Order: sequence, then structure tokens, then C-alpha cells
Amino acid sequence: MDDFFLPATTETPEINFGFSKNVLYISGEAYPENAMTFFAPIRVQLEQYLDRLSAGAQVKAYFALKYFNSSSTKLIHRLIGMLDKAAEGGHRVSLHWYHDPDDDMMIDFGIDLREDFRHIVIELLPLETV
Amino acid sequence: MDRPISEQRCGSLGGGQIVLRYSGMFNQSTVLSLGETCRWSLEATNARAAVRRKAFVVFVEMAQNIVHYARAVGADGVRVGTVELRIAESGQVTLSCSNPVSPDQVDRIRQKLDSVRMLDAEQIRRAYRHQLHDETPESDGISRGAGLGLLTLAREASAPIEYRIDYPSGKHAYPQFHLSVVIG
Repeated sequence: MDDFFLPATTETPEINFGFSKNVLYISGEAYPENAMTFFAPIRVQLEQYLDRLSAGAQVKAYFALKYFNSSSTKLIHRLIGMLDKAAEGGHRVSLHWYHDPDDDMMIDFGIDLREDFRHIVIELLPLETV
Repeated sequence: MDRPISEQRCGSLGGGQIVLRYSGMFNQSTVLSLGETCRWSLEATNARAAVRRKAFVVFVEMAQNIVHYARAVGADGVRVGTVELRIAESGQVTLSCSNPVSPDQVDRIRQKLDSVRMLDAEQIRRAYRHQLHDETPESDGISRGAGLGLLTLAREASAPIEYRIDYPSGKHAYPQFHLSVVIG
């Protein structure tokens, strides 16, 4: 499966899914006019990748989002849900959740992710430069 | 012309000086350029970094809410509204917005706002978490229950959200919805 890349824009994050290396990056900000439209192809790509994952594969996801609007929130949450499901299915999946060290909401969101998703390993990490 | 821009006033909650006010057509390009201006304006104030961040979050939700849910007006169906950013000497920020709404949505809007206004911080947090997990698709023009957008505003606000609905005179005037959020 080909790697998947979308460059960042003002309103959408960079998507860099290195499927060949099992490394998934998302970074930037997300407040597109229609979050559903923006995230739909990303969801499809991730779904196809996770379906074809060889047994016991180790997947590393890095999410470094500085801001996302309310409609993107749900969709980002669902992407992480897909990763969690893959982990439940026997793959080793880790999520590195980067946040601005001063952004309490983003830290809380990361803490809540740990509560919501019990199969993936979630690490909360401060963004070095914001 | 059925664009009651001149009739739009933002809520009177909070004090301070206006640092940004826009009244007119709204689309995603407007949101992006206003968002940038909002950030830039906040940078130049004495508001704390956490307050500035929250203010931007609220600003984008308000502006996108106008794009998505304001009653389309005029033959070309444009969305019009007003957003306003004020800052007090204390560094407290007040964000307000207003836009026309359909008469048949007024009860729903009141219901949603009233229910969120009653919640304390912990209840807002729980409602937000619940809404995040709710997989039910939105079935009508305005989001189901108190949507994540409204709960986001409530979460960032340091006092209950204030709102008001005015009924401007004029045969073709729509009810005007006003919302104010104080941060810091």
C-alpha cells in the first residue's frame, strides 16, 4: 500500500502516513469548513492499511496537533479509536500525543484518550517548540 | 435587501475595549482571515497565554457557527453575522457574536442554551465527554442535543454563556441570536 501524504494548510494538518514503515504522523491545526469531508479519505486510508496489517506488526502514531475545532475533535477521536481496535486485534500500536505544555485542554484530552482507549499505549509528550 | 446587518448588535456582557469587530458576510475564507487577525490582535494585548488560546478556540467556533447555522438571507443565500472581541484592562476577554436565525429554530436554540447554562464545570466536562462518544449522526440543521461546539464554548468560558434573541421590526427581518462568552 502506498504511503499517504497531505501537506498542511492554514486550516488542516499535515498527514504523513508512512504505511511502508508503519509510522503515522499528523501535525498542525484542524479547523476546516467541513471536517467530515476532510477526514473521510484519511479514515479510508487508515482503514485499508489497518485491515492489511501483518500479524503482530508494530505501529507508531505521532499526533502533534496545536489546535482542532469541535467538529474535527470527534473525527480525530475516531481515528484513534481505529488504532485502538487494531491494538485490540493483536497489533502493537502506540500513540505519541504531543501537546503544548501550557495547553491544559490538550493535556486533558490526552489523559481522557487513555481512559477511552485501553488497548493502545498512549504517551503524552510536550511539544518542544510551539 | 434582506440583510439586517445594521440591526445586529452583540451582547453587552463584560466590559473592555473592542479590539476586533467584523460585521458582514461569512464563509470559510472569512473565518480564516478573521482567525488570523484575532490571534494577532490577542498577541498585542495583556491577556495571558491560556486566555488567548481559549479566546481563539471560542472565536473560531463562533465564526464557523455563523457559516454553518446562520439563517441564509437574501436571494443569493449568504450568511451574515457579527463577531466581536473585547479586552478589559484586567486581561479578561469577551467574545460575542450575532446572526439571524430561522423563527422555527428559536425554541431549539433556547432549549440548548438554557440546558448548557445550568451546568457547572464538572457537568460540562462530562457532557463534553458524552457527546464525544455519541455516534448518532446529526439529524437536523442544528446539531443534536448540546453539540460539541456549544459545549466547547461552555468549557472555555469562565462564566455561564450569555445569550439573547431579539425580534427586529420589519416584515422580512429574522430573529437575531446574540451570544457572549467571557474568558479569564
